[in-house]
Amino acid sequence: MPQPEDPPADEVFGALADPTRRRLLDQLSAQGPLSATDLATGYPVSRQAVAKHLGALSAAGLLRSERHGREVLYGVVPERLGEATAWLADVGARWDHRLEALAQHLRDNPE
Amino acid sequence: MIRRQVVLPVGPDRLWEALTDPDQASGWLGGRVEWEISEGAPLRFHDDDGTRREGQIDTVRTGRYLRYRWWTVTAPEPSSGAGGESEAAEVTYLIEPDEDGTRLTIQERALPTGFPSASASAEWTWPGETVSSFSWTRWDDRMAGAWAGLSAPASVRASA
Repeated sequence: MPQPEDPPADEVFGALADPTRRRLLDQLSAQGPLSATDLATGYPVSRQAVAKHLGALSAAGLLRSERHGREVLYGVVPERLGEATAWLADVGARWDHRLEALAQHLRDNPE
Repeated sequence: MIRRQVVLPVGPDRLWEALTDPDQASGWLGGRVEWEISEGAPLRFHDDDGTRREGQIDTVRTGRYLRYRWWTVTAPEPSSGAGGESEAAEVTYLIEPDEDGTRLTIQERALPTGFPSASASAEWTWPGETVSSFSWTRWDDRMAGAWAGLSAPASVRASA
């Protein structure tokens, strides 16, 4: 079974595909840990919808939550974004390099 | 997920040969490739940077489509830290005709953490869905047949 606390890069990008989730992440990274209630005031969607988005971001490992009394506060895990972009950059650069070499190989050996 | 597309000035058979022949693949893939192009067959890849990978060929549609999975056995020294191809990943090659030659689309995507399990061909779970080898077969046929309709974000054309 995959570990939900450490999903692959694709999970991160899936979670970021939604504009509301990107805004939530942006706000949380600027203002620090906030509760779903704090966050919901700034959004044209219900508190339930915000909570659902927070759940998706958490599932991708982008947020961690902590209980403070009655409230659950959400904070950003910045390393997760870094890991995902590092994977994309590294794997992408490898394939760029390989495909250049393949094109050269076929120019030199067309038959 | 990484996707790259390139148009190469050769026919599909020549491209397939360059992609799958171990000696030719060793030349351009950046290391030594040991594999036999056969579904279920193991593969080994010794990257020039010291990375050693093992994997398995999953789907072969000769001249059109190849899918394999690979995972790092030994990371390069010193470790490059976070990122890199340390996770298990799935790679697909798709070959299609193009007016300037043959179009190759390569995709690599990270597989869920925890893969590979003891048995690489066992059923494994993607978050929210169970992927059996049966559904993979249907997926491969769909990819090989209709993938051309998808847009490719990163596209380069190799000049002749």
